[in-house]
Amino acid sequence: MVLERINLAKKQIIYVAALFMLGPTFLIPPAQEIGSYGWIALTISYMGFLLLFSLYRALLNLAPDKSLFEILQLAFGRWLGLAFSLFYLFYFVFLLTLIVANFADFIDSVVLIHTPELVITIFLVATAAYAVRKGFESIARISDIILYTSVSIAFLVFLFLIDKISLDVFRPVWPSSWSPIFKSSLSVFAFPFGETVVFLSIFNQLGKPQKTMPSLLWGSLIAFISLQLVTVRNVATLGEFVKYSSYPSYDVARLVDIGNVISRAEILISINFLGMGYIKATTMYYSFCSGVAELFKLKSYKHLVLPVGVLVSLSSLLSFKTTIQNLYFIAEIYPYFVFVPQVIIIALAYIVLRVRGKKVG
Amino acid sequence: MAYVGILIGFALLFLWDYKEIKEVNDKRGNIVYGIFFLAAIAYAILFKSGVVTISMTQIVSLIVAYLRGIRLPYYFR
Repeated sequence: MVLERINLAKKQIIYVAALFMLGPTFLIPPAQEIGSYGWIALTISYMGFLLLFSLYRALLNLAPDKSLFEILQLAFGRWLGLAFSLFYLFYFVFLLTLIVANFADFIDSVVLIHTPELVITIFLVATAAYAVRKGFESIARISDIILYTSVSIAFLVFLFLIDKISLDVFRPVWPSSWSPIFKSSLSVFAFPFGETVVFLSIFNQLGKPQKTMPSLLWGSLIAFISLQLVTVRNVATLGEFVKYSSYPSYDVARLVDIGNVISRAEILISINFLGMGYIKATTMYYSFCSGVAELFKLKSYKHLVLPVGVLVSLSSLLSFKTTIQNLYFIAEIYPYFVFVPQVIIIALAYIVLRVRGKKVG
Repeated sequence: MAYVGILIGFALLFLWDYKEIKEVNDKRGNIVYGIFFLAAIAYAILFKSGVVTISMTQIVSLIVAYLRGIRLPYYFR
């Protein structure tokens, strides 16, 4: 495929990266299973992400104008590179399926309880497909509105709850055992920080790494600060109950009640989730379709969008029977699976290119 | 009736894509499109008939659980 040049301002890349990382994690905050130590797990995982970011940056410096798939073929040769590229495509479509399943599960269990999940899924995928067919620029164009709205809402809910917040729940600050915290950090590292590997497949369409990589870093910093705010707010409001809540941010917003005038603020959280999840879903959708077009040297990716959408919708409908199943998957299965595409293959590609002394530009 | 609905839905999707396919005029693209399109029809029909009850998530769960040596709780299989 003759790669389409995507003209985005640095600011827009920052916003897309931030929203991509915030995505569903704004609603299902990371490390909720360890309650008041969630902020420590989040900090450790962000440190891990900074190391991963250095790896991504070093890899892109070795091959500045190449996409992820081209880098894999350069490093591992044609056939092994193709096999790894197909694995990445599977990972992208798999992640897209998970996001759609999360979306549909949330709307079906909390907002539109009596609406069939199929209907919700079709509408979600259809709107995402429309945006993907219009190109990545149209996706990025709405990112600033969504980011400003979402972060403002999170901060506003924090302010509304200020009288219900108790910082005593964070004591003792030093945990008695570190192993659950490290286990949780691995989970947070994989979801959402490690998922930025997706950007490696589209960054070459956005411009030089000197432009894109700092934007990714700034985006991740916005995401990290926002997630810390949400994690601290949820724990300080709900206390240990946060461990047993399916959607803690939603439950926190339900507590907002200022003089019986400002209440039922949970709808704001739904807006947040829909906006940010939408950006994440469309980015994954675009990465998969443009990845297929690039790998099979197609002239356009646009006609693949609808059939892929149907496959994703059906697969997401079969994904999880309950929210608990979803949370179990995120904690026990997902981090171990995604460690391979997020870290191992990328590190191997970097070592191989480095040893061979290849610099391609 | 549901199967007729599925086929009508897919016909509409194809009509929607037809203009783009004709414009691009890419043989390789048509083959890839055909594969995805047929896979989508097959998945939809098998899904409706209840033959397919497994998703990508369950396949990944089974593989990772096997490699980690953990037992998935019954309800998660």
